[in-house]
Amino acid sequence: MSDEPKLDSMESLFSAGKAELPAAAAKAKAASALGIGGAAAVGAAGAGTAGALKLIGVVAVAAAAFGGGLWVGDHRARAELKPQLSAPLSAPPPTPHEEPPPPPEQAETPPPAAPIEPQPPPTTEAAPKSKPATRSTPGESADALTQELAAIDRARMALRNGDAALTLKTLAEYERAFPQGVMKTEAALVRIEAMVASGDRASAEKEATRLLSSGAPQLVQQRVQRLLDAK
Amino acid sequence: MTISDEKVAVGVSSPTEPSTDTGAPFKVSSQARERLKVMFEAHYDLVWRLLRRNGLSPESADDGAQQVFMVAARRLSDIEHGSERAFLCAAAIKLAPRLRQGVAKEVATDELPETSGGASPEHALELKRRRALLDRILSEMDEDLRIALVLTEIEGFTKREVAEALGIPEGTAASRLRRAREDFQERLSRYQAKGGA
Repeated sequence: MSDEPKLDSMESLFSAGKAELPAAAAKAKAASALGIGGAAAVGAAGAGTAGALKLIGVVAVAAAAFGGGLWVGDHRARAELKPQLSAPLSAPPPTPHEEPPPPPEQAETPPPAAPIEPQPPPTTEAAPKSKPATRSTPGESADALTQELAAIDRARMALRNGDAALTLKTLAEYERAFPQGVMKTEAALVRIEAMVASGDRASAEKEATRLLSSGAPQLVQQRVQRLLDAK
Repeated sequence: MTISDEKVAVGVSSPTEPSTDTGAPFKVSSQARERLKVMFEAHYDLVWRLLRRNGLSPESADDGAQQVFMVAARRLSDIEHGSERAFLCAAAIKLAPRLRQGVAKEVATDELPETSGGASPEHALELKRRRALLDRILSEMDEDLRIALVLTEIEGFTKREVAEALGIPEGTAASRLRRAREDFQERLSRYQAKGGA
């Protein structure tokens, strides 16, 4: 029985090249050397455990913003992310799950099965982790992020190929699949670009207003403005 | 916008010198710093990947990318607004050969650590394999064709953007791209026929 070698297509090799990411630490070091280490370094590893998924989102937005595609397949990017993913994602929510058993009249909602009983969190995990409902383990978080990134990449590819309709359709699918996705800002930017490209300026401006009113950082604001200024 | 060798060379440290690591910030105006920050956030990954696809190891590409932005920082006033990406690409392309020469410990292939983070080991290995094949084929191509191919197929440049980045007519960019695709496919097919893919 012979082993049929898997034949690579040009596109699969190009995708692998596109998916490669620089190490966040090296990027932060470069930013520091350039004297712009504040916001630019926010994607570096070691930013602490709190808001780890938000950190990943910032790295992802910054890296994917210019069509380079983003993939958590790069070993160093993943190695950088791993500490954040495996560490407790945040302090437990301020619920009384560590308090002594409540008096009987307050025990109706939480089943007083044990002295320390976690309040039913959004996730099914008993451990005191606070994370989006779509992700319950670090591994699942990374897989979900990988899928998000792939979806955004597909949308960008469609846009590059001039297919605004497919871009918007892909983004709509992304929104349905990842309502709490960390790539939502990038998705919005791509959506605005697609709307401008298809001539639907009114929708682009509406989307831009919605994005900017959500407290978008300055870099995002600048990007939105550039998109709206484009012909 | 074309970048002359002189413009790129000035301000670039010798490849054998360590990267600027003092932490001393560039002395630029706050407006220039803001512009540099936007450029950095927007294009760092692109610059890094360009260096990688032009033969540098990940570690060398780290140093190289920093040097490219150092050059950009020193030449900000020369860079037209809207041409930042073209400038950075041209700088990276011109610097890559020098950076390759200056590095004593070039690593031929990527090496994955034991752990593969959140992605499956099979997936990580597959990406590594494809990337190694990609880089092997790219390294065998003529530089002009390689660059045209990398800019379009990997970094998503349009032909017009390639022309701008390389300072060539759009027709020339289109012709290079066509030949590059043919060349790449031919080489890939040869590898596969030999069982090397």
